[in-house]
Amino acid sequence: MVDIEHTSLVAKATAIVEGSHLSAADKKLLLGRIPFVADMMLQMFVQVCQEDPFGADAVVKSLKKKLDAQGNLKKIHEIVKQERREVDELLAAG
Amino acid sequence: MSKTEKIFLPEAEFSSPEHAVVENVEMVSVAGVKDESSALSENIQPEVEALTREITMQMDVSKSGESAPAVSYEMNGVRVDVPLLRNEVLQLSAQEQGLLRDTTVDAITLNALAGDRDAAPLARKQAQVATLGTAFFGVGAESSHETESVATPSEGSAQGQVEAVNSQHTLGFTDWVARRGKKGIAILAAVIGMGAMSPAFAGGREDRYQEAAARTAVGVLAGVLGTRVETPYRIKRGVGPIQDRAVYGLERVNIEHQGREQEITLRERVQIRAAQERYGRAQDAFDVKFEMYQLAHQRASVEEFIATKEGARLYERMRSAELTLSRQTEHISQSADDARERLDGRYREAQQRIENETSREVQGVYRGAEGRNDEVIGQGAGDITRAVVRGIFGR
Repeated sequence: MVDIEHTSLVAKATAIVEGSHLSAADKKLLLGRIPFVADMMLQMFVQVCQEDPFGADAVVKSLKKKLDAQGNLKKIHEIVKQERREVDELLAAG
Repeated sequence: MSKTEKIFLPEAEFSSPEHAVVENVEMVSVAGVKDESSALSENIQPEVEALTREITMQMDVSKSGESAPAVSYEMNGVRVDVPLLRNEVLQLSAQEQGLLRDTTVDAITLNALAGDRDAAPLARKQAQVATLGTAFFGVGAESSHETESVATPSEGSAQGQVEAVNSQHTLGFTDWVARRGKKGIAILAAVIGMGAMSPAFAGGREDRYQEAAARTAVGVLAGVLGTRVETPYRIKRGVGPIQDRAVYGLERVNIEHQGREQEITLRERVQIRAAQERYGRAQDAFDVKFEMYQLAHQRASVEEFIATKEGARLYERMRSAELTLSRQTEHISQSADDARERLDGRYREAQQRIENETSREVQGVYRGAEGRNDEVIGQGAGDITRAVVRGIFGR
């Protein structure tokens, strides 16, 4: 049952990525990871992409920022903090 | 504080759940770092400390038990033997510990902050995107073009794909982590409960661990979102009376200000009128005497009257009264303006005081409401981490 759900989510997420206008490299970034992402995150991914046609772009952008840190913990830490600050600001703006 | 966490585990496969004797491992608390703490992290500090107490373990590893490895640790005073995952050396630096802690909180917070869909749709979306970015990053699977070494002995379908892709290397997760230098990332991803799907964790206990972490994360999310939804009502309830008091206070100050201003204006008018009356009396006296002079001297001019001793005296008196009136009017107006300025200053101070008090009280309400959120978040972070600990150490 769990496997079926996961497979279905993977299929949906994969279809979204493949149907997106992302570059081939960006698609590969996501497609290689999708099978290993937790179901709840896949659900969120599908939801975000269905709500916003540029959702996948935003996710790739966030992912790339972290990948660009090249495993530098300090940089990743800063990225995570910055993302939180951005959310804080948006939340304050309502 | 910059302690280092070291967990030495002997060579073993995860599928070999034999136990071994415990020797000598240094373990330092995850929460032992405060140098990079954020305000929110501070808020959950008690929770983290509680968690630290729980997971502070005395771990020993048998050097002789390579074929039958196990680790023993104490949790809540109970010594437990658990099978090992595999050979690994995890050394969490202070920075890694800080990252682990902060990111654990951050990821959940991102969701929590944006939980109220209607109130802050952009924030919610941004939080989702950031969380997804972390989730995709955290899986560490590093799709086939990025790395050659993320295989797993699992035969699960998803993992099987990776295995096929990376069949030339069958390194374990921790090997990969060590090689990539991302152990902290992998762990934090696991702790977040969403990036815990590394293929190296496929099969066996780690599946349960992933599921537990993910389930816990979902539960935390739901709890936090629920609290978040409730928060505006709590804030509204708390802020309402404060706003009423502020409005009443401002109205009172305003009325008082208007009354004082009217008083100043009235006093100014009275004083000016008194000065005008003094001038008017001098003018009247001059006019009366001039008319009388004209009666005695037909067609006499004002100049002729002023040329007389009485006329000159009355004229000087009138001129003096005019000058006095001018000076007094200026003085009265200046005094009134000064009084108005002082009054306005006091008015602004009173307004500011009310605004400051209101702001403080409202912030208190918000802090109270957010504190409830933080409590849930902290509790959730603890739940997730405990789930991970249970997953890793079999408890």
